Amino acid sequence: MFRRPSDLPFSKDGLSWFLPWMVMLMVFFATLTTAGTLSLNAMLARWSRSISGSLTVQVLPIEENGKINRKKTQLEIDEALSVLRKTAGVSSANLLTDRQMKDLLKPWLGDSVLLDDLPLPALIDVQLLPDTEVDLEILKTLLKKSAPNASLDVHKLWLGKLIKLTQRLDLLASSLLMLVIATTSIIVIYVTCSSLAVHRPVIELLHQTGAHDAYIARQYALRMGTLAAIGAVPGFCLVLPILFMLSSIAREIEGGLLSEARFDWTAWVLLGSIPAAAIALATLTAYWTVQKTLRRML
Amino acid sequence: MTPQNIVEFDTVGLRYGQGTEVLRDVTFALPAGSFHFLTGESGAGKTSLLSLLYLARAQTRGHIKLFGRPTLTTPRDELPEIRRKIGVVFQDFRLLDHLSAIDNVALPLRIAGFPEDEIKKRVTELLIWVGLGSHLNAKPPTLSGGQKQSVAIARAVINRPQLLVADEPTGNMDDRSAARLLRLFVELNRRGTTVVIATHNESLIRAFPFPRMHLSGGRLAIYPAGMQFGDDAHV
Repeated sequence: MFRRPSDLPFSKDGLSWFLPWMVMLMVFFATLTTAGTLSLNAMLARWSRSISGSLTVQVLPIEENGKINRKKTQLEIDEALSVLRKTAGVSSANLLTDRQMKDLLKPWLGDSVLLDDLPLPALIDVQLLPDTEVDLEILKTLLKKSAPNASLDVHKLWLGKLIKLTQRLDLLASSLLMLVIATTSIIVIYVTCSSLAVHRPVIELLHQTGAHDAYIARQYALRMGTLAAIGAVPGFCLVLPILFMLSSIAREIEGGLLSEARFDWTAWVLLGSIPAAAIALATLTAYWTVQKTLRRML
Repeated sequence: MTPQNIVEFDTVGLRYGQGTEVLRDVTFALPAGSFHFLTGESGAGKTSLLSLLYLARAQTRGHIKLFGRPTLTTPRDELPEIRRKIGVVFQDFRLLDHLSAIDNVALPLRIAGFPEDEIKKRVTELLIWVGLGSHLNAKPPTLSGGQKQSVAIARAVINRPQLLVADEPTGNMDDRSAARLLRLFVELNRRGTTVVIATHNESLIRAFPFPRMHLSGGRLAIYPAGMQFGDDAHV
């Protein structure tokens, strides 16, 4: 008999029915966008690690009459080393020794590798100075000019461009999240203001009976928080199968670019906090809106 | 300010928008523990005067003090504390249709932060006393006019207000019920509540000889207890 009912007849609100639907969509998109951002950031970190700090230059052996001309090849290697060592930002450039080459090829060709019998390219390991940017395009041109058979690992250039694209996508995702937050807030403000207008006579009575604005604001906060929860939980549940599917696909592509796209527990905690954040956002926005609106009343 | 005065009006005027003044130079004081009837023709400004008394609106000129506090300069955050000392019976009851009788009457206590156990005890006792013991959980749309009025009155007095303002509280009642209700107000007055009742009921005014405040053309005249209407009044 003495359960605590709301003083305001919220069930008569004409507009509040669509708040859970809107919050459901917002949570769905926000979770999906955050998941995408987390995956991109993980891949970005991995790619950045792979292209920073070192480079590899290969010099193809020069063949004449079906035989490798070791003298000319050595000249090109020397030219390439000279260019690399003069390049700003390069700390060292060293030709891989026969032993190092054998170690590299061991997993594929076994122990008995006779390097002399194979037309293998010479590999130069280039270490870069920390916190410096080497213009790979210029370096590539210089190498081509001095040692036509020398080449940079082209995929590093491609990765660099991909990282720039990823960073832009990251920015876009953040903008989308901000848009979702702003839209949710505006909807809550709109629904709250409409409800305040509908229930003005009741609010006047509550004021008349000695209610502070906070007393009324708390009831609105509870109402909007409940409506947001009704939408947020299904919105999050709907996105889960999609995330699990993407995560399992990423897990299957071991060693590929997507292998870092799966989520660890911290990512799941962050994603799980999105519906809670949506409920908190609706609750606080409603409380603030009521306080601000009622301040204009006597 | 005289400490014993709960209400002080000094040359108070009230107008709605750009219209003419509905209250003009209204000046009076209500001592603590006094009982007054407020009379006047329909449209004379009784409800407007009462709305100033229970802080539903602000005057457009003059000064009002309630419980020694000037209403216009009291910070807005402090007005609820003043309002909690005032019980109001509205002419149109203003009950909340989605709440039961018991929850309607409990409203002032809940707002004041009383514990639920005490609320339950006090509200149930009062509703039984006003004859609504079998309608505790009934919602206002299912109650008769007289029952609604009883709920409205119970809500006004549940918090033992220092000032009770009632706008035509006996409007829907027969003379016997009206007299019974007035006895409740008199009992509250004996316990120290200052009472102002707006009414058209002349037989009630004759039966309970208290001072009368009469509004005519927006101006107020006060007739002491026992003085017949039409005699020289204190303005």
